[in-house]
Amino acid sequence: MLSAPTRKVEVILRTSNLGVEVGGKTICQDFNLNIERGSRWAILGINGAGKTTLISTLAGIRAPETGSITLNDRPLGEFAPRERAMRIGLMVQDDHDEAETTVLDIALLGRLPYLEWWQMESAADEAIAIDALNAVGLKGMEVRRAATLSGGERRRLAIAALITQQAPLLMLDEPNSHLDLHQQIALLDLLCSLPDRTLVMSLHDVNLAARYCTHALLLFAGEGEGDGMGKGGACAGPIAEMLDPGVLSKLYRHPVTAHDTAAGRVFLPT
Amino acid sequence: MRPSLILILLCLLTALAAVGALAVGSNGVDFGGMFSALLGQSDATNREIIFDLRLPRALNAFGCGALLALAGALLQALLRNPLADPFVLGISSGAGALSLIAMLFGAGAALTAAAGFGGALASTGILFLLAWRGGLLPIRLLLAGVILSAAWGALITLLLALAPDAPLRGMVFWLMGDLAQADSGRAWLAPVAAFVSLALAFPLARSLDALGQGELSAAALGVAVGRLRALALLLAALITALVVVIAGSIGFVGLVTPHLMRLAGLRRHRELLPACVFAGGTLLLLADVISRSVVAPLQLPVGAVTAALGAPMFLWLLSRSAKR
Repeated sequence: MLSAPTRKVEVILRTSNLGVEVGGKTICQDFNLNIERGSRWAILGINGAGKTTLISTLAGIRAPETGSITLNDRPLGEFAPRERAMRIGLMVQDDHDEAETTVLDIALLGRLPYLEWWQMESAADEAIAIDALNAVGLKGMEVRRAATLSGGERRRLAIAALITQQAPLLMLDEPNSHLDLHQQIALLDLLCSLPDRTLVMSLHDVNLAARYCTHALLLFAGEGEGDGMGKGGACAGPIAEMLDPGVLSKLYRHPVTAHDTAAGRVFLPT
Repeated sequence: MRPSLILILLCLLTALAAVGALAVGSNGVDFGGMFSALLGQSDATNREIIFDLRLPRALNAFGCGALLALAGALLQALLRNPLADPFVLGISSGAGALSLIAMLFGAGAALTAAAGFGGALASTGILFLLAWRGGLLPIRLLLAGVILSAAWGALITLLLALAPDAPLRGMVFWLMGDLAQADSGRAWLAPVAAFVSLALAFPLARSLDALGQGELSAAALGVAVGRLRALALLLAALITALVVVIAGSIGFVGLVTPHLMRLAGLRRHRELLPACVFAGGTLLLLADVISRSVVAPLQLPVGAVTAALGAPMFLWLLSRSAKR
């Protein structure tokens, strides 16, 4: 019998017995997660399940209550903030100011981890930022005030800043909220077309998760205890195994049915 | 306009304002007198007026204006609030209250200054205690500051109401801001402090830019937000304490200058902070010239002049930004 070729999978982010709590509520406990290089993760769960808190924790800007997180086999807490920012990029939900900041200014902030305080952004830094703006379709908008952008443009600008940051692991908190149908697809197409990136993003649309992600992380907000999951109710795995009508019905506390269509399997609320 | 060009223009403006400040005054020494005194060809009286009266006062005005504008820029970035200025957090009121208590007890200039500095530091300490929850929360900081400011204000009113007539006039003038307080030997203090503070604040510039995009975004870019906020607040508090001790409460320079510079097109803090030093210094220099020439030989308190100039200017800026 031939031995199966062992494919070396590289785990970029690993959690061991992770426990995350916020405001006295347990989001996950004793949670073990391996995020492999090149995989694309969807974090699914109802509002208030703790998606934002978990993403902040995995991104290293918030310490976990218990357990450990390692990035490239090194404890995440050991990384200096800027060193971490070269490896993990995080896009948070909208929080922009109304100042005179231009589109290029914001894209260039992605270079912050690489620059000492006495260094000016070089022509190379600027080229990286402009390439990123071109990639997200904001070509020629460099000097526009960011406050004048539309919601979709603003989100693409945030992605441009993330690309400029050049981190291999990208985490995004609801990247397609408040976007129209076309913008949602365009944004996820763009994210998934970025070379050599591992993605972790919270989504509210199960069908988009099924279409774009390789893995899913479900947060049950305390509902899933005792079903072989850790306390607090988090479970993770390949997308095909996780997206099951029964599991999703429980996840969203609403009946969900699966329908096989020509475009693949879709999940609908009843 | 290019940021570097704006900075050069500001330096030129500062130089012009400095010449004006040396040439204008109630003692009858004009431009010609000033130049001959500067060249050492003038009589002793002229030289005395220029070097012992106007120059120290000009240095003082420039330094205090620069410090106030710098503190304003730091606090506006730290609190992410365009209405923040060195006086909104009650640091200056704390300094004012304790200085007045010292004056009430007949303390000399040095002791009054020490009391003021102590009051400012005590105020800052209280702010940290009230606003620190594993990090400085801007909204708590702002609320605590406004309430603290109101409490110190009440104490100041009480002190003024109870003070006997003898120290009262000095106390009132002190509160309104008075650049003549500093003796000529120590006039270098404020401008030197302004450039030292700029050197200390400058390394924070890019992090402050990132903070403008939100606390979480800044943290994700590798900014140690907690440390940044603590450093910026501490620096702004020390600056405010120093200015209040040197020149009393001078309003509006700290609030308006950063906004003026932003409207001129300076967006990034590495341009904004140096520009605030020159622009704030120049503004107070000009306000001081006005305060001593409008009703010469009498002098208006410079705090009143900056407020009279600053309030309409700020309202104009506000209506302009509302339209866009």
